[in-house]
Amino acid sequence: MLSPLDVPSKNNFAIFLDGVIKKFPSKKEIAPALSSISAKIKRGCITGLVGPDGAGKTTLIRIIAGLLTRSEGGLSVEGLDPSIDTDQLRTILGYMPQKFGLYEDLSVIENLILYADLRGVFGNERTTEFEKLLDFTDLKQFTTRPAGKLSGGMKQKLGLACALLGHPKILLLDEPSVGVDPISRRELWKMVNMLISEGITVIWSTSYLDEAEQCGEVLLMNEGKLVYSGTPQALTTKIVGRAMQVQNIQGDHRLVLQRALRAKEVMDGVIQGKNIRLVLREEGTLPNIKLLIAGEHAKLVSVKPRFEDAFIDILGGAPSGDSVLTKVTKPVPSFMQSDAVIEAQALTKMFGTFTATDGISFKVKRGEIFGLLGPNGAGKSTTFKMMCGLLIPTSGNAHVMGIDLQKRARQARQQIGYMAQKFSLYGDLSVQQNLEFFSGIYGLSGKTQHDKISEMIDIFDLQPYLSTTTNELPLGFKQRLALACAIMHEPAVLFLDEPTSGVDPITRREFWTHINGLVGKGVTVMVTTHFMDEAEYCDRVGLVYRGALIATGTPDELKQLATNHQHPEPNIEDAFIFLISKHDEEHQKIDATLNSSTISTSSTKKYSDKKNVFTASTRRLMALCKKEFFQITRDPSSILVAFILPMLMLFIYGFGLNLDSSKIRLGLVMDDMSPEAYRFENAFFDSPFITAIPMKNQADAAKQLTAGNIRGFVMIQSNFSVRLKNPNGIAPVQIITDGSEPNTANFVTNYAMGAWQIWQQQRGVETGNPASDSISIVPRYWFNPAAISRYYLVPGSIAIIMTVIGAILTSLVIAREWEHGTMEALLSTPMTRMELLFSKLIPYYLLGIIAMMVCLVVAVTVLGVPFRGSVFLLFIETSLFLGSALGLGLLLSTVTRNQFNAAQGALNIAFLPAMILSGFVFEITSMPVVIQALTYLIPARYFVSSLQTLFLAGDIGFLLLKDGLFLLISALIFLGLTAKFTRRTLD
Amino acid sequence: MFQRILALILKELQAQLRDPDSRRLLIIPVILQLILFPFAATLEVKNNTLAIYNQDIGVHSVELIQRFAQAKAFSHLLILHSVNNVRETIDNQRALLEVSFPSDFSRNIESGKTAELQVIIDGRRSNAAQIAASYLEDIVNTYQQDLQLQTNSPAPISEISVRNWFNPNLEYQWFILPCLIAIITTVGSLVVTAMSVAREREQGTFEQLLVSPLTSGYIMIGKIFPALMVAIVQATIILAASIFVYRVSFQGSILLFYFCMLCYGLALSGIGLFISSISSTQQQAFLGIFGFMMPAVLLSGFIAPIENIPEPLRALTWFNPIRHFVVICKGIYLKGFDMTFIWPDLWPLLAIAMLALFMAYVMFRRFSK
Repeated sequence: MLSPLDVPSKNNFAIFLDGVIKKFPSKKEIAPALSSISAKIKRGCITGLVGPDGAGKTTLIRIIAGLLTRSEGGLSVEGLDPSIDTDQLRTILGYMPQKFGLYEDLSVIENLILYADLRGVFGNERTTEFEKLLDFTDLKQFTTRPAGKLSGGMKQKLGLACALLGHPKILLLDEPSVGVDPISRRELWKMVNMLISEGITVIWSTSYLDEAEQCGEVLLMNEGKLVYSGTPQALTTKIVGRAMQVQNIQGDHRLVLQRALRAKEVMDGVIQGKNIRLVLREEGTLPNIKLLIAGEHAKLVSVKPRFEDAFIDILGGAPSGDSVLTKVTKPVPSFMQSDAVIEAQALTKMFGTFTATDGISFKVKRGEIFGLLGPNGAGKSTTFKMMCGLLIPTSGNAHVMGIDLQKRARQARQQIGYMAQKFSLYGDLSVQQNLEFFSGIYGLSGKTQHDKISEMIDIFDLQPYLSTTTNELPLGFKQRLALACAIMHEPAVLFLDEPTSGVDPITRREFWTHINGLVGKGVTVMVTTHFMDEAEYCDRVGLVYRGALIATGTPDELKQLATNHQHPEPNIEDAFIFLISKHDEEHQKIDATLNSSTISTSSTKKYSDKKNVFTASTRRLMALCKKEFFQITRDPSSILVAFILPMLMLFIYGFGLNLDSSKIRLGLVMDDMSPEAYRFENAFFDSPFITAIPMKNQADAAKQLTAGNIRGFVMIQSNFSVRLKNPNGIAPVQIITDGSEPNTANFVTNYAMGAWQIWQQQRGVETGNPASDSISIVPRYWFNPAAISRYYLVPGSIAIIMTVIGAILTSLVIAREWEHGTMEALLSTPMTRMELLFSKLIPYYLLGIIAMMVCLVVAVTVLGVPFRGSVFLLFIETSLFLGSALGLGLLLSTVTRNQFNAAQGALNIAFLPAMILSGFVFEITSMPVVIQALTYLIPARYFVSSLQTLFLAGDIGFLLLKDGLFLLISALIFLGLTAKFTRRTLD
Repeated sequence: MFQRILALILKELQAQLRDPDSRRLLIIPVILQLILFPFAATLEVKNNTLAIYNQDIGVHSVELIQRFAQAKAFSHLLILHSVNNVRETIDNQRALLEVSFPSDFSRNIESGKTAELQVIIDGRRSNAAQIAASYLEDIVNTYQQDLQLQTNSPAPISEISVRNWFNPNLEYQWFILPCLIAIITTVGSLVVTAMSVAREREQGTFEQLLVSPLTSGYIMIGKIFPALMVAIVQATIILAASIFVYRVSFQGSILLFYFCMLCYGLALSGIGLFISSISSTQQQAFLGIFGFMMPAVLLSGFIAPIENIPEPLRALTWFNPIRHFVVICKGIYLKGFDMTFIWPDLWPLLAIAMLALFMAYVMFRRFSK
C-alpha cells in the first residue's frame, strides 16, 4: 500500500500502480503477462506506454480500465479501484481500444450519438460537444459516411472523438497510431496535446519508440516488465555524446555498418540513408574509423540521441551485424539486358470509377532496396500489390526480372519472395510444417528441400521450436520463420509489407541485418512502410500520394528537399510531410473547388435532442437497440438469414415437400391376358393415389423397380383367371415393393391392398356373392380433414425458422462484437450488464416477431394453411420461444466469443435438434426412451406442438399452457445462464 | 508441379487436423448424427397411445381391443369413459388416435350387419396418425377375415401376398443410414472447402499463396483434395458403423461406392469453392453453406420422395447433387447397383461437378485480379 509520505504528492498523480501482476490461467507460459508493475502516472500529462508487441501494454491498459482484473498488487485510478468501483470509474474514463471500437456499419454521427447516449451526454451539452468534437477532428463533412468507409486516420480520429464524449478525466489510448501515416499521426498528437491543456490524464500506448520522445512521461515495457519510468529526456541523457553519424561514406555503406558493429566500442548501429548512425558504449571511446573502410572522406559527427538508443542500451546493445544467411546465399546472377529488376510502366488501377493509382512508373536496380511511402489510401499498397502480382493493373505493365507479371505470372512468381505485415504463416501448423509447405509450393523437393530446410533451421535457430505451433511462437521467432519461408526458394526479388512494424528494436535490427546481407548478394528488395525507420534503410524511396508518385530519390535527397531554416536537419518524416503539403499547395486550386462541393451544409444542431425525459439507463438501452437495428438492416447476411431463407424454407415446406405420396408409380405385370385379369388391372387405374404403369414382363418390372422408376409392382400370374373361375380356387396376387424407401413401400402396400379390396367387392357383387364387410372403419381427421401434410409441415417449419433467427443469427452477433473489438469499447462505458443483455434481446426479439408475422401472413394467405387459434396466444408462445432461442444464441456467443465456434454450436445444439427431435417430421413417441427423454430438453418441441395446435386446432388452453410453461422455464434457464456468463471484464 | 500440389495438399491436411476447431467440426456432427438419426429419424410409428371409448358390451370390441393392445404401434391404451373425454383427449394430444365402439357394435356383427368403428385421427400430426391408422386398419381387417373363416360366409376368392425387396422388414434404419452418408459428407466437404478459404483470407495467408507460383487451378486442387479425403473418411466411418453396429448388410460393390463418393465429393467441393470465392468472411461462408444446405437437403428425396415435389421445383432438383447421390448411395448399399443403374444419376453428378468447378475457377481468377 501507499506510504503516508506519498500523500502530499498525491494530488499530482492520477494513477498509482503498486506491484500489479497479471497471470492468464489459460496460457501455458511460466512468465506472467505482467510482472510486478509499480508506477505513478501524472495528472494532466501524456504518459507513453512504450514497448514492442507482446510487452504487456494492452494488458496493463485493460487493467487500468477495469476490463481485466489484476491477479495481485494495488491499483488506484483517481482514488478508485478499477475492479471494485467499476461503475464510478467508467463515468470518468475514456477508452479507445486497438481497433478503435467503432461500428463499421454505422455512420460517423451514428457512432457519436451511440457513445453520447451510452456516456450520458444529452441536451445542449451534446450539441456543443458534437460541434466541438467534429470541429476538432475535422470530420464535419463526413458525418453521414459509414465508419467502415473512413480512412485509417479518420477512423482513429472518430475513435478518439467517441472516447472523449462526456469529458473523461482519464483517457486511455491503446496503440492509436498503428497503421496510421505520419500526417495523421501528427494531427493526432496535436489533438491530444490540446486535451492536456484541459487537464486530462492521457495514457498513450505505442510500439513506435520515436513517439516516446513526445510524451511527458514514459513507462517503457519489455516482456511484461517495466524497464523504465520517468521522463524520456532523463533516459536519453544517458546517451548524450554517444550518438554519432558516419558521414561521407564511400563504397557500400551496408558493409561499413557490418564492420562498425564488429567494433567493441559500438553498441548499436543503423543505416540512415547513405550515412550510418552509431551509438557508442561509452562516451568518447570512438571506434577506429580506418577499420570501417569507409573511404578517406568519412568522418564521425556527433548527433542528437534518440529514445530508441536508450532502449537498446537497456536491452544490452544491438545484435551482431553479420548475417549467417549471407554465408549460404548464392549471389543472384546479374541480370542480362537492363539494370531494372523491378519495373513499373505507367501503372494505372481503377476500382470502378475511382482511380487508385494513376500512371505510376519507376525502376528498381539489382541489389537495391526501394521503399514505397505514402499516407493511407494514397495508392501505395495498390502499387505494391500490382508489383507482386496480387492485382492486375487496368493499364500499364509490371515487370519483375524482365518478366511481365500479367503474361507469365508463374515464372515471375518463382522469382519473388513475399512477406506480409502480419507474417502470413499458417498459425495452426508447426514450424517444421510451415517450412515444408512453403518450400514445397515453390517446387523444392527431395534432398534439395531437406537441405534447404535444415539450413534455414540452423541460420534462424529454429531447432528448439520445430514442433511448436506457429501461433505460440514468440514474436521474434515468428518474424524469423516468416523470413525463412519467404527466401527458401532463393528469390531474386523480395517484397516486404511493413515487415518490422511492432517488433522490438533488437529483432528489427536482426531482421535488417539479414536483409542487408541478401542485398549484398544481389537480391532486390521492395518495401512498403509507414515506419520511418524502415524508410531509412532504403536506397531509394518513392512517395505515393493521391494515386501518383510525387517524388523519388534517396532518403538523403528527399531530406535535402525539405531542408529549410525551420528544419535545418529534417528527418525522413519531416521530408514526407513537407513533400505532401507542398504537393497540396501546388494543387490547392483544384482541391478548393473539390472541397466546396463535398462539404455538406449539415449542422450538428439537428442531432441535439430536446427533452431529457428518460433516465440515463433507458437512454443507453435505446441507443444500443437503435445501433443493433442499423446493423441488422445494413448487413446483407443478416437480411438473408432473417427474411430470405425463412421465406425459401416456408415455400419448400409448403409446396416442395409432400409426405402424402399422392402419385406413386406402380407397375403392373400381367402374365394373364384374360378379361378377368383385365378387370383387375382396371381397379388400379381408377385409384387417385396411384399412377399405374403396365410392364412388359416380370424382369422388366424388376429392373424398373431396382432403378427406382417405379415404387412397387403388382403381379398377376398366368393362372390367375383359371384359379378365379375354379369355385374353390384362390386367385393369387403379388405385391412387390421397393423396401429401400420404407415409408413409400408402406403406402404402396396400403394403396394396392385398397384397390385389391375394391376389386374383390365388385367381383363379389357381380358373381352374386357380395362379401359385405362386417366392420367398416369410419376415419375422421380432426383439424385437418383432408390430411394435407402442408397443414402441419408449415407450422412446424415456422418453429425451425424461429430457431434460425433466434439462435444462429444471434450467436453470430455478439461473437462478432468480440472479434471486432467493439465489445471492449462498450464495456468501458457506464453500461450495465442488464442493459447489454437487453440491448441484444430487444432488437432480435422484434426481428423474430416481425418474421413471425410475415410467416403467419404467408402461411395463411399464400399457402392456405388455416389459423384457428388467437393471435394473442401465438404472440405469447412466440415470445417465450424467442426468449429461449435468443438466450441460447446469446449464451453460445458469450461463452465462445468466436463466430466460427458460436455458429457451430448453434448448428449442433439448436438447429439439428429442432429439425430431428422436435416432433416436426419424426414422431417423438416412436423414438427410443433415452432419445425421447432428450426431447423434453428441446424448446423447439414445445413450440412445434403449440404452433400446430394454434394453426390447426385453436386455443386449447391446457396444452398451450403446458407448452408455454416449459418454454418459459427454458427461456429463464438460458437467459439466466447468459446473464451469469456476461461479465463486465475481459477475463 | 506435382511437388507443389503435394506440398499444398499436405499443408491442407495438416491445417485441418491440427486446428482443434476444425477437428471438432469434422468429428462431432458425424458422431452426433450417427447416434441420433438412426433412432430418432423414423417415420415408423411405435409405442403410441390409443384412446378407446367403448360403449359396446359384446365380445367383439373386447377382442379387438386386445388385438390393438398387442400391436407394436400402440403400447398404451387409454380407456375413456364418456364422450366428453374424447374431445379433451385428442385436443391435448394425450392420444394419437381415438377409436369409438358404438353400443351396437357386437350386436351388428353377430346379426351380419355392418358394424361401424369410428376412428378419430389427430390431423395436427397427420403423418404419424395416418400411419397408425393404417396399422389399425390392418388389425381390423385381419380380425374380419378371422371372423369370416369362423362363420360360413363365402370363401375368399383371392389372396394377396406382399414382399418388400431390398429391405424385407421395412426397417427404417436401413433407409436412414445410406442417406446419412450423403448428408454428413455434404457438411464435411462444404465446410472444408468454403470455410478454409475464408479463414485463409481473414488470416492473410491467402495472399501469400497468390504471390507464389501456384496458379488458381493448383490452389483449387489443393483445397479439393482434403475435401475428398474428409468425405472418404466420414463415409467410411458411417459405412463401418452401419455395417458393424447397425448390422445393415452392404449389397453392392464397395469400389464402385468409393468411386461415386469421389465424384460426389468433387461436385461438393466445386460448390464449396464457389461459395468461398464469393464470400469474404467466415461468417458469410458459413451462412452461404447453410443457405445452400437447407433447401438442398430438404429437396433431396431424403425427407420426402422426389416425385411428390411439384413440377417446376422438381426440375430444379436436377441441379441438386445430394438428390443424385442419395439415389446412388442407397442403390449401391441396399440394391447392389452396378454401373448401368448408377449412370442415370452419375452423369448429372459429374456435370454438376464440372459446372461448379468451372464457375468457382472463373470467380477465383476474377478475385485474384
